Amino acid sequence: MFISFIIGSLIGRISKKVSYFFGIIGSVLGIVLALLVLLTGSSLEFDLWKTTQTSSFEFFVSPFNSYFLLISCFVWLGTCVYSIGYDDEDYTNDLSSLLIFTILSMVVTILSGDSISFLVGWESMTIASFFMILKGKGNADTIRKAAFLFLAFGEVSTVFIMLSFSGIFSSIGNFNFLASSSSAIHASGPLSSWILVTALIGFGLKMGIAPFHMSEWLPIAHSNAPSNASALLSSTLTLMGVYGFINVVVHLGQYELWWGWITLVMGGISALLGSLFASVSEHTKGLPAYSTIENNGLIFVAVGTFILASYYHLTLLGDFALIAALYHAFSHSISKASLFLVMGWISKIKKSFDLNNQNPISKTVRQVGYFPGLFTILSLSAVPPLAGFVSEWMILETLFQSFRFGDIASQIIGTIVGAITALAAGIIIIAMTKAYGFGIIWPEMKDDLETKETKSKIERSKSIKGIFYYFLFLILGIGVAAPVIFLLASNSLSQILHTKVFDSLVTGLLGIPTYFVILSGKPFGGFSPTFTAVFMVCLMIVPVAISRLGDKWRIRRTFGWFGGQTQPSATSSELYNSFSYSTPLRIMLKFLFKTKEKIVEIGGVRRPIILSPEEYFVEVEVLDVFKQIYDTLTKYALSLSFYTAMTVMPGRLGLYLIYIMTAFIFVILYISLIK
Amino acid sequence: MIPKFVEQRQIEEINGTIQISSIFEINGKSLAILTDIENSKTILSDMPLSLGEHVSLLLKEQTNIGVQTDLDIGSKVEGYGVFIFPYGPVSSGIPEAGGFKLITYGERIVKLIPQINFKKRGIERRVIGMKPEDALLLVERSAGNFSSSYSTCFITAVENILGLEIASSAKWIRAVAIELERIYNHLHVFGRLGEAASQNVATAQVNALKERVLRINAKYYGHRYLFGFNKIGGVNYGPFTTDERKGLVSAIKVIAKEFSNIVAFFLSSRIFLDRLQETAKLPKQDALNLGAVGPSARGSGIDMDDRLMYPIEPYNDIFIGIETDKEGDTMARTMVRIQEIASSTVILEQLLDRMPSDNINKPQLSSSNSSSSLPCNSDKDFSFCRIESPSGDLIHVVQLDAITGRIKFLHIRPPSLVNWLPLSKSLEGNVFTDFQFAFESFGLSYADSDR
Repeated sequence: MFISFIIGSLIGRISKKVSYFFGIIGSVLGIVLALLVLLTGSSLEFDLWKTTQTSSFEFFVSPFNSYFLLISCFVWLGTCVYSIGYDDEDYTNDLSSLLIFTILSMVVTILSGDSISFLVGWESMTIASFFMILKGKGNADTIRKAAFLFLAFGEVSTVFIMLSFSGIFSSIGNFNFLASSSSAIHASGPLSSWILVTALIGFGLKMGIAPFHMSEWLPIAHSNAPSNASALLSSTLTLMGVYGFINVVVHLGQYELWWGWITLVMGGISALLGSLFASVSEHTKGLPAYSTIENNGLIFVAVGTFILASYYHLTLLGDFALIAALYHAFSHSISKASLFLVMGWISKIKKSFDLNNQNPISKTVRQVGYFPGLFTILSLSAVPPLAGFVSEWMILETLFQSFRFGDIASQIIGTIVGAITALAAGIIIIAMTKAYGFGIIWPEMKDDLETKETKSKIERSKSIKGIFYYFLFLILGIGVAAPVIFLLASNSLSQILHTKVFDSLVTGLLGIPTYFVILSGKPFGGFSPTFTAVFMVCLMIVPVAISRLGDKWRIRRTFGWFGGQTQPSATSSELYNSFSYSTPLRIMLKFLFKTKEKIVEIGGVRRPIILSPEEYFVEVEVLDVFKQIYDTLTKYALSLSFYTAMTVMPGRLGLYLIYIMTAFIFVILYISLIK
Repeated sequence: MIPKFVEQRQIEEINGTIQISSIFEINGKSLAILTDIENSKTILSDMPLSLGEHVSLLLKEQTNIGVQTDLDIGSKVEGYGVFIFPYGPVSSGIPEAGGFKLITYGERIVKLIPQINFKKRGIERRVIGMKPEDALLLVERSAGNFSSSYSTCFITAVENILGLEIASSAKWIRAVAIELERIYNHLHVFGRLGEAASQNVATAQVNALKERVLRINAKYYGHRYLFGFNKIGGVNYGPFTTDERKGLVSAIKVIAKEFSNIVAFFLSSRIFLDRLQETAKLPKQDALNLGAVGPSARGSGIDMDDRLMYPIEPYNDIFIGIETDKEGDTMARTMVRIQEIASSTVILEQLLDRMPSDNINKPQLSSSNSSSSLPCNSDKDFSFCRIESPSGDLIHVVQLDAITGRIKFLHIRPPSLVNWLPLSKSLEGNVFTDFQFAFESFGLSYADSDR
């Protein structure tokens, strides 16, 4: 698998298709490996290089990390196949190399058994993504800024992760905690808090958790990054954050109360902000990127519940929350990749990343996105029995059980965060309907515009359709086959979980056979995604049969009612647009969005009863407050570095050499003293 | 021949508080009826030259039947996400056939373009060649809600051309009808506003009061909407006996009292007030410039009322309190209407109390020096009249054929027509949900403006 990814990343300069082909092979191998490990429960370890007695560079495949490998490989497989059709002469050959290299570094990150190789993978992943973002289309200056912002956030994240890992090192004395069993970090008091808080910031930065959510949406949206790259960045790169954070949390073993509160509150706020900003985003990449923030917030909420439950020794609830987090990571990664790829394809054809843009595109091209797009947005808006619903249901169920927490403060926080999360899950529906409506299916054009160019596009759309359906079946599968995913997640956590959660929570109930009902606690709610699906299909059979078979009740189609006037043409200025769709939200939540509405009357005189033509110019802006804060910070940092550059850098060369020599000697001295 | 409240002089420049009320073309000459609001004067002038090449919307809208008119001359709105939201002509919310083009970027109204003349029946052309008494049937039915204002306005102009000096009591009976019409129209508007705010119980009570006024109309004037009580040279109903007059006054007083109780409930409802206050604000200057009339103008602090500015009998003889409110929002317009119900009750009381008792249906040819006669040009072939209808200033210009006595020219300047632009202006910057309240508070009628 490694080899195939390495070859893939090297060969990219020569041939894109071969490069992606190796990516596909690697992903398939990864899926097979991950499934084998997950189902058998055996771990593999490869020591690469023993540094000291206790530390070594090693790779390992345990059930825990193979679960994340499985998710990622599903996404990578789809992305690589998609890229073969997507990555055309618009982008240079480097893109394929960078893409596969990013995948390779992610594999390193997931499979590394020690913090050093983890950080190596983490860094190379950040740098490769940085170059991928630079491949975006549009204003070069904006893209450069976006890419450097991504790099800056990535480096800050690395710094915090290093701080966290150094804390772990000082508590256990080696780097290899990732490969060791859970609760391996026997830290306590301030040191453990240090480890958790730095990990929370470090990985939270990658996941785009508020108030660091800029790191997620801005690079993707401002750079118009290639769609395959965006899918990779938004679904698997943030997944690495989830992996790292859960890893540190489960290895801590002992928990403080306020960790749970912080994680819950940050998660809740991220979910709400993410869904709100997704709803007012007009960018085909910005909208899914904001939705990623929402979903990662939900994962944070689940982890927070796990911490609180563990603190109160509610083992079953804690285990369920952790499984919910893992489940949500799975369903979100798959759905989000699918959304990016479908919307990306349509906007590539449309040649615009603006949802508001109504460039005519052929109906046949749009049709490739109809069903896959529909199922994707339904999953992301948590509609049963799809992937997103099962995991969101699980997360909300854990919050419903916040009454089990031992003190009133935790109960109140749990309840409030539960309400916020449910609100976010509701608001995201606005964003998703908008994405589907304006990004995929509407406005619909007839195929009378078929030029030679669009014909080739139609051919390519048909060939790319398959990969959308691959995601569609995954989304359906993760939802309907919920017990299987539950089993995989609980298997992957077998080292960590305190209870036999699969045996106790996946049962049968009310005539539904064993292994088909998921309970959220004992005694608490229960739900069977599989049988919900069966039930929904059964319900659909009757109306479908009537509409298809019954002669008398055939569907009658008629024209829409346009207030008694003629139907506006597809290019008319009377068409509703995506901006207007979410303007009520912009106006209602003015305090949050800092909406600026500017209506300027340019010309025109109003005299008694006589009017001369009037001209207006309208400008509405929505502001992310955090962006403003970061902009201010950037301004100060820039002026500081300018000051430093002007005062320190032009110093004498001799002095500089002496400084370097002195520093070197000190380092040598320090190392020898330690030995 | 021109009474003291009408001046006939040439106006060159339109400025200050002079408002163009109507423009019409008669005998191959463009004439304008202007209103000097400050001095409470009506001015009949040749077409002011300063209007230049500007197209008057009043002329523009005189289209053929079946051609709708956008009350707008090529406005342009640019910006991200701006689109035109077509509303009407057949939709819920707008009670008649009429439409709007809302230029918006979602929710916020940037500009509102009223579309009228869906209901155009061409009354003005249709009556040409008819006998005045036949034309009356059409004219008073062209806007059912304002029928007594329409018939009185038309008949007064015709009578003036014919030189008929009709009995004072007939004029007073017409005034009673106009005030009754005002009361039920204001009740109607208030009911619509309550409905828009979903105050269903209170709205039903207001509508019940309106129904009682309509029944009073039917009892005293033979028709719920006051059709057919007027005739040239007099009226078909009345004079009322003393008991009848007392009964009418007390019935209206009871209605006004009950209404003030309901209003007290409305004004204590925060939900209702929130929807009305600060909604669709029309500043005084805009109201002046755009030529707002009636309660809409009075809601913006403009002190204009035809009953004072053009005081035909009996309005020159009784006390009239004009209600104004300077806020200019929907609430102000509503308050003006509420207070006008009370003031109309007082006017009705005076009218019925002091009604002269001359022979009601015996018109005489007027003596040439009568000060109360209406304006006529020197050839005595056309005349105009202004009546304060429930929605404001209504103007009829009538010309009769000197030989046959049939209608040669009719120009109607309905109050709703000039109030569209103030409505459009007031709604700029408001949100969609304010639309209903603004629309109802102006008391506009498509039948009226389209005629």
